[in-house]
Amino acid sequence: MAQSKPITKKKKKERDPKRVIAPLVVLVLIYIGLEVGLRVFQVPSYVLPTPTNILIETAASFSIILPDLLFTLKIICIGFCIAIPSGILLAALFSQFDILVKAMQPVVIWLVITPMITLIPLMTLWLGTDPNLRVIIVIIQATPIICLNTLNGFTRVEQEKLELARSVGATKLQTFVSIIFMNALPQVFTGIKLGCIFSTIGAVSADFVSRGMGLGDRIIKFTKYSNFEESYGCIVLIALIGITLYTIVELIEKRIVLWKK
Amino acid sequence: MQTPKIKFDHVTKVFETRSQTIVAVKDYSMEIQAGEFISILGPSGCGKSTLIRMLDGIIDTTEGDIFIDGVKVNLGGKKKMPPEVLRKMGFIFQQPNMLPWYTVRENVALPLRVFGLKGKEWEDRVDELMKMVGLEEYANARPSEISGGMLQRAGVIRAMVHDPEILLMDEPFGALDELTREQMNMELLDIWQKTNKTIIFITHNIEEAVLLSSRVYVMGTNPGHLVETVTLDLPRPRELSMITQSKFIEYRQKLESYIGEIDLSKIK
Amino acid sequence: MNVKNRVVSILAPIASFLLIFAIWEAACRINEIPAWFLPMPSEIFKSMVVDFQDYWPHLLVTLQCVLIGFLIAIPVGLLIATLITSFPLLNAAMSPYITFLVTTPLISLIPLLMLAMGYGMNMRITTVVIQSFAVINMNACTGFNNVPTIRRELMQSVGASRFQTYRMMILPSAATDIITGLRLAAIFATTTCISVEYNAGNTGLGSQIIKYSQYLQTTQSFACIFYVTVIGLIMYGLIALFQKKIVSWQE
Repeated sequence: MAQSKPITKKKKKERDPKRVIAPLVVLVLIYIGLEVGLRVFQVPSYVLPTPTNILIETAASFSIILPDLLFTLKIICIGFCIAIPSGILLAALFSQFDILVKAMQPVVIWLVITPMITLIPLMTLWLGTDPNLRVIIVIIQATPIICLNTLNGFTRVEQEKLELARSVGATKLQTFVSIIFMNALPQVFTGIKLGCIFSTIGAVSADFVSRGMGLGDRIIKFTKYSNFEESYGCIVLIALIGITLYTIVELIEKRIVLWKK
Repeated sequence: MQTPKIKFDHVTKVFETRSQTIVAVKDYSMEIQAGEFISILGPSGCGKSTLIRMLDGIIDTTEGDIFIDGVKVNLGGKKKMPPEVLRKMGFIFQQPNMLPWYTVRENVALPLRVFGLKGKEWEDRVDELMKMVGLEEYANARPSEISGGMLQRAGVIRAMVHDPEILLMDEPFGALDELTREQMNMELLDIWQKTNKTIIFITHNIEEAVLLSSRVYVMGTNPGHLVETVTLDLPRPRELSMITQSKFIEYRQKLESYIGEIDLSKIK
Repeated sequence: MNVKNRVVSILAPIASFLLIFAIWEAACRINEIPAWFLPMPSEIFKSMVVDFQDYWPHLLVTLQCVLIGFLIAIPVGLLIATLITSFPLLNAAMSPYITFLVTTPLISLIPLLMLAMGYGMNMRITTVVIQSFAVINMNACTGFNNVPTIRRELMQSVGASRFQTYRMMILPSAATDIITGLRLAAIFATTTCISVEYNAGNTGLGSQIIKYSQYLQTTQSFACIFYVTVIGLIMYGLIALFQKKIVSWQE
C-alpha cells in the first residue's frame, strides 16, 4: 500500500496526455461520424442537420442571434450571481439557530422539489412583461438548491472541530467563518454548480413561456421557420454558456478548496 | 533439495508515470520453504508491499519471475493469475478492508463466494474460524458496529477461509493500538503453529519481526532492494517475555543497524 | 432529550409551514389583494379539493411522464456510467462530455423534439429522460471512479471476475453517490416535464398553469403548482424509501 498509493495519486494529478487527446479524438470522431452518417442516410435536417451546416448557417445568422445570446447570457449571469450570495446568506442565517434549521430545511426542500419555473406564467401577472424580469426566475430557481446544499454543509461539522474553536476561545463569528464555513466549502461549491445548471434551465424555460427575446425564444422562431441549423446552433450556444459557467466555478473551487482531493 | 514454496527470482518492478520512472523493487530474490514464517522489514516506500502484491497477482512484474511450488505464476502483462493459484494465498490488508454492506460473516465468507466453494464443510469452516477468534456473536453485525481489533480479526480469518497454504500479511496490525497489536501477534503465532501455513509478514516494526519470524529480509529504499537476510535462532514457541532476553536484544540491535544505514543513505 | 429532539424536528417544520401560509393568508385578507393577483392559501387548498376532478387527469399525465422518464433514466444513466468507467481510455475520452451533458439545458431541444415526435407522451418522456439521465450518469461515474483502491485489491486477491467485482464491490461502493444522482434526477425530471408541458399541447399540470393564468384564474394556477409539489414529494419519498431499503449500511 505504502508503495502503490503515492504513485497512483501522482498519476491522477499530472495532466495525463490521454486526458486531453482522447476527448479531442472523440470530438473529431463524432463530428466526422455525424457528417458522413447524416449524409449517407440522408437524414432530414429537422431531425439533425450536419455539423458543418450548423456551423455555416449559425455563423451566417450570427448577427440575428447575437442580441438574444447577449440577453440570455445577461439574464443567466446576473441571476446566478445574485442567487449565490442569497442562497449562502439564507443558509448562514438558518444555521445560526438549531430550531431554525429544523424548521426551514423542509421549506427549502419544498422549494427545491417544486420547480420554481412553475411561477413563470404568473410572473407576467405580478410584474409585467419586461423581459429583464426573467432574472427573477433564474434567481428563484437557483437559490433554493444553493441554500439546501450549503445548509447541509453548515450543519455537518464534526463536533471536535467546534470544540477546538471553543478551546481557543473563538468568537461566534470567528467560529463560523474559519470553521463552519470553510468546512462546508465543498458542499457550497456543489450547490453553486447545481445552481449554475438550474440557472440555465430557468432562463431557457422563461424564454419558452414569455417569448419575445432570448435564445430559447430564438430556437422556437428558427424551428417554426424550418431553420433547423440555426436552432441547433442556438442550442450549442446555450450549452457553451452552461459549460463555461460550470468550468469557471470549478476552477475557482480548485483554487480555494485545496484540501479536497 | 526441496522445491521452495515461494521463490522470487530477480524480480524488478518499475512504475512509469509521465514525468518519472520509479523503481519500486530492484532485482529481488528470495526463497521460502513450506511452513516458514518470514518477515520483510523495511521503512515505508521500500517496496515491501509491492512484493506481496506481485505475488498475489494484484500488480504485475516488470522483470524476473515468481514461482509457487516450482510453477511460474507471473504470466506477464494484464494476464490474470488463475484461480487455482490465487486459492493458495490469502491476503491480509493493513486496514480491515471490510465491505460495509455485508455482515461480518458475509465478509469473512467472501472468498468462498468468489471461488465458488459451497457446501456444509465450508460453511462449518466459516463458523469455526469465527469462533476461533471470538467473533461468533457478531456474525450478523455490520462492520461499522464492531471495534477495530475485532474487524482486523475478521480480516485475518477472511484470508484463511478458503484454506490457503500461504498467508500474505501487509502490516496487518499496524493500525491497531500497542496492546491489541501484541495480543494479535501472539494469536497469529498460535494460528501458525496449529495450521502450519507459510506466512510472509510485512512490517516496519523491528521487534515484531524478531518476535514472530524465523527469518527477516531487510529492505532498503531508492530503489527498493534487499539489504540483508537475517536468520533468527530463537526457540519456539515464542513468548512476549522473550523481548527482554539478551539474544533477542542482540538481533534487534543488528536489524536496527541495517535500518539505520538505510536511513542515512536516504538523507544523502 | 432524544424524544424531545424528535418532537421538535417534526413540529418545527409544521410550524414554519403554518406560519408561512398564515402570513400569506393574512396579507391577502388585510390588504384585500384580489384573487387573480394572489389568491389566499385557503382558497387554493379549497380549489385543490373541490376542483379535484379537473386537475386529476392532468396530475396523472404529469406524474406518469415524470415517473416513467425517471425510471428509464436510471438504467440508462447507470449503464452508460458502467460502460464508460470500465475502460480507462473511454473514461478519459468521455469525462468532459459527461459534465457537458449535465450542464447543457437539454430542454432547449423541446421545440425540435416536438417537431420530430409530436406533442404526445413519447416526446415528453424522451425529454425527461435526456435531461435527467445525465446527472445520474455523472454521479454514478464519480462513485465508480472513487472506489477505494484497497477494495479493488481485495477483489483481485480472491480472483473475482469483472462481473463479481462490479456486483459485490463497485456498485455498493458507489451507492451513496448514485442516490445523490437520483435525487437530483428527480428534480430535473419534474422541472423538465413542466417545461415541456408549457410548450406541448394542453395536457399536464404545466399546460394548466399557463391556461389558468391566461384566464386570470390564479387560484387554479396555484392549485396546479401545489400539485406539482405533490409529485415532487412522491419522487422524494420513493427515493428515501429506496435508500432505506437498499442502502441500509453506513460507510
